[in-house]
Amino acid sequence: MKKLFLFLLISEIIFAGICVWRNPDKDIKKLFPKATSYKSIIRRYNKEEKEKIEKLINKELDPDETEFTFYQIFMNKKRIGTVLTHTEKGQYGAIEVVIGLDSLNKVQKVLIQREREIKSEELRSEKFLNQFINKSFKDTIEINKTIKPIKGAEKASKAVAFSVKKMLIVYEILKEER
Amino acid sequence: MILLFLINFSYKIDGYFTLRYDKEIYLYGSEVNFRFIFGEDYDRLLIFLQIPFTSHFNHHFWQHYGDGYIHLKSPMGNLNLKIGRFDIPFSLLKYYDTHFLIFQPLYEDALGYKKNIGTTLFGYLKDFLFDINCSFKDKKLANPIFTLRFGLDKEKIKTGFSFLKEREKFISLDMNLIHLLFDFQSELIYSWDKKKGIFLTINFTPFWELETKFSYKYWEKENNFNLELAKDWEIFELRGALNYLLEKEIRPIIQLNFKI
Repeated sequence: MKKLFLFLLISEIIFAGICVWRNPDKDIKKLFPKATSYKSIIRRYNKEEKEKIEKLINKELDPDETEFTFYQIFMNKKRIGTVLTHTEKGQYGAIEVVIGLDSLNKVQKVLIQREREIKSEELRSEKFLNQFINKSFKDTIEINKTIKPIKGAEKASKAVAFSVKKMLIVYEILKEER
Repeated sequence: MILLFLINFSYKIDGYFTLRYDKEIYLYGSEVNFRFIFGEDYDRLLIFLQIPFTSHFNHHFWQHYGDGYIHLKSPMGNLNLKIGRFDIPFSLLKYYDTHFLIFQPLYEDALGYKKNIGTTLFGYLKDFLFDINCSFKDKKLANPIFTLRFGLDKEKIKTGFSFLKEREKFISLDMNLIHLLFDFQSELIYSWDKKKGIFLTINFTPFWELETKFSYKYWEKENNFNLELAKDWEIFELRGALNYLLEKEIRPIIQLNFKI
């Protein structure tokens, strides 16, 4: 039993889960056709940064989000953009979203990596996802205000919109510097 | 002459532990994972170390050890080299996360092992994947095991053909298909000794974020059915299963996964 308590104690300081970017090579080519390499930067946040993020997204960070990974995209040695990833609960399971930012930190493209929604085709459609293009940290990204949801898939639409909004905020607050 | 070595370093720790009720309550397994990433280009070299306290760790503390490997990858991640101890890329083990699962796929029955010490070269070209693996069951590096897997990875379908050669030879066909709200996973394994195995599982979330899973497994004339319901509350996950081995009994299992 002592071992169990010791492990429980250790466990309080561990655990982190992030959205796994399953197929970087393929996605980078879709997001940045001229990319030649990428590298990932892992950023942890302090208490102040956490409060700022939570205030702006109007929601607490998930308990497993103890760190965020930003993917820097390069064309030869020139930085051409950034990729952010996020997982949010949809109507029928997790929706994994991949967000490509240009060098001005505006959304260049959004991809859905994995979902199990009934309106899958509509959710992955350019008609829906192109609504996020050129959005930045300062813009309002909200369903029924600036983003038209998919009829019958409101929860999934909201999950995608929230993922984009949240990750733009997280990236703006944490940036990349350690 | 001045030699300048620039080493950037980052690390991550995560883990879980699992309590299970199966006729009695016991600590079923736990795990701590350490991930070290080196280099100016952070992604190029990764060292992963996993310390699991698996299966009945109450009685066998520290007895088991898990993954420990070095992972080198090309700038775009399409060519990778992994050296150390890790899951062998055979059949569903290539992408099926067996953590937390009450009902495991066929590797347990067919191979009797999941992880080995060895090296694997893997990568992808457009939608095509390949894995070439050579591993050993023990530290003496005797009796090599060769594995080849060729796969196709499309948006909603993943499929692969695997070949494994040890003392016995195995071939396998695996598939993961996502259609509407259903996530369908399957594998067929056949050995040169004419052993046959089928594993099927359908996973979906009908309502209340309740993950529902129906599974069927056939191996060596034995049929096994499993119905599993899981609810994730972010800090912990509650998983209940009704396991039915044909002509035997229905076995209820309740599992609590803490993800602190």
